[in-house]
Amino acid sequence: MSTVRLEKVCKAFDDVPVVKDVSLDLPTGSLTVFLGPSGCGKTTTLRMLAGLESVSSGRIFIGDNDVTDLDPRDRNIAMVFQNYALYPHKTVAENMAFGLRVRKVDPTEIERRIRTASELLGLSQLLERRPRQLSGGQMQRVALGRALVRDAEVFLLDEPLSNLDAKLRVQMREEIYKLQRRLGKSMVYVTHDQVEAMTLADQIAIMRDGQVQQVASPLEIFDRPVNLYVATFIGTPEMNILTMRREGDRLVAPALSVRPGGFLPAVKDGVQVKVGIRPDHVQLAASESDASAWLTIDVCEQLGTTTLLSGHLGEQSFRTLLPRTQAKLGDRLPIRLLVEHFHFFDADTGLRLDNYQST
Amino acid sequence: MMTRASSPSPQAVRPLRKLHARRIGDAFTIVLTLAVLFPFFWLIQVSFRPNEDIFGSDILFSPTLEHYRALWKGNFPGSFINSIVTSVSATVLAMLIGVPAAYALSRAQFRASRGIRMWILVTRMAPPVAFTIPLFIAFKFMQLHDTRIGLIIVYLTFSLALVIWMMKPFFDAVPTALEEAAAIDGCSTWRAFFSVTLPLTAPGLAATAVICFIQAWNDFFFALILTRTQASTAPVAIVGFIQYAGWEWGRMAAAGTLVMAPVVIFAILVRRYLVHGLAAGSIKG
Repeated sequence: MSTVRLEKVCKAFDDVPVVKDVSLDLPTGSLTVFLGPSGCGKTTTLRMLAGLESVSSGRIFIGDNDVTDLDPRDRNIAMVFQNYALYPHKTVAENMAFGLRVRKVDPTEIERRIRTASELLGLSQLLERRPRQLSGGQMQRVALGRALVRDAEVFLLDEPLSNLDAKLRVQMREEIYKLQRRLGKSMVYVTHDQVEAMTLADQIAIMRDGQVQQVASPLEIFDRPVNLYVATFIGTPEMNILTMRREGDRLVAPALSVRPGGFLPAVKDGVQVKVGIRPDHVQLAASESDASAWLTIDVCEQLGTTTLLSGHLGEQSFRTLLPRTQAKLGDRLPIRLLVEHFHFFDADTGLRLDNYQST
Repeated sequence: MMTRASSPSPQAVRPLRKLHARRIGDAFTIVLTLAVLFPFFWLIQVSFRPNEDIFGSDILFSPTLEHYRALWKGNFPGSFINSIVTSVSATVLAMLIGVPAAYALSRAQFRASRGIRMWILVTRMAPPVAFTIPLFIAFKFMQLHDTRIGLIIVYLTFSLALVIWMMKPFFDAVPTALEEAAAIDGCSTWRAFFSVTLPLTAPGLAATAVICFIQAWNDFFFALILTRTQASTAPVAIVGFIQYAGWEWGRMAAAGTLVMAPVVIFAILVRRYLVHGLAAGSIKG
């Protein structure tokens, strides 16, 4: 059963479409992340789900109800805003209680829920403070608490960690993860940070220009990106994309020739393909005869455990992440490309080519 | 050659100079304050002086309430009540109409909103005197001449633009995200407005209300022209003490003191908000 369902949802502002034909199923109790660069329509989609933005066409369902034309207050949702949106004139306790008071929840029940939520989030000492007396991380917790006490059917989080510093962000990310798994609530989480998406999500919906590119689990998206966009968007450092041509059982490019064995893309001889190779799917060749390519080094960045080498294979730029290696500008390193990890994409459409041709 | 000990070190001189500067500043502030407040104190003391000694300069005199008593027996209480009724009504109405209007203009996004704002301001561009004759003729015709309602209408028209223009920046400063949070918390638009937006603009509301009230309360010109006996206000009544028989300084001073009192009290009550509202004009989300 799905808690939330979007059916061909579109949104246009003054005839400019920002969300195009989004259809999604969010399973009950799961955490779905909308991931994409700014301006891709992910926040707009979330706001339509919340009822803060009207829908140009399409339907939205929460549970069994069509909520497309309902006000936010009739949708049984709770939301955490990017800037927290805490009421500045109310104390922490009042901020959390407000939604319950408006809904005429029994005062003893309100108190019980606030106590539970504030213990869960470590806010018990701060209940009488006002938002301006709180740090960013504390405000974030209060915003979460305000959503949690509501006991809503769906929780919406709009880039909730983007205003925190890096260290706090990691900490809060873990807390959100634990909370969601413990409470088993359905959550929709919007972010442009792929690490947040990868670590938190049960499923990720990658968006671009108002369209959903792929909906899948984090590892599925990482392992089998449906197109070039998803392939290069997910993964740091970015996946290398080489333009190569099939010639017999080989893939060739200027000053580069690889024999992928059983992993040859199913295209005709002489056709160009885009070959995606993740930077860590490369090894330093044991010997020169073992090398499948020679990487000319442009930049050598030491990251501690690993070394990020940027350079070029023939004429095409290429990056690789290797165990700690010493290299300097202009060095030519023999490398082995792990053919079993190659991703192939159509050179024109950018779509994934999946069926291999046996040799 | 001078020794170090005998010459004051520069570090010691600087705070001394600073202290001097501060003393001069303080003295200047006191002089200025006294100069500004002198007419008020003078007026108040005149109101307590007996008639025989009305312009006496000795500080020690036996104060009397005779002028206040005389005011109480005459027509002044009626005028004073007229003043209160017209000013309070005009302020309340201006706030009731102007505050939602300012909110609407702050939140609404339609093409004409800029134009509407401009035209609201235009109503204040002509000098008020220019409206006297049209208003006089219109009020005669509509039988609003010498009525409280007539005065309230005049004060309302002049205050409304002020309320809208003063309140709009306050509403602009309240992030819409707060209202959205309220909507998700279960509020209707009105509930969100009353329990989230309005409390956050409290300093602005206080400052605006005070200014509206003072504007209506201190009006002399329209009250003089548009009223005769029934609806005449306190400032007009004061002029009535200038008569052929003589100028009744004592009563004038007593009436003046009484006219000043509500403004002072009102301003002191909302002082905290007033400073906040006039200085900041914004709220931190």
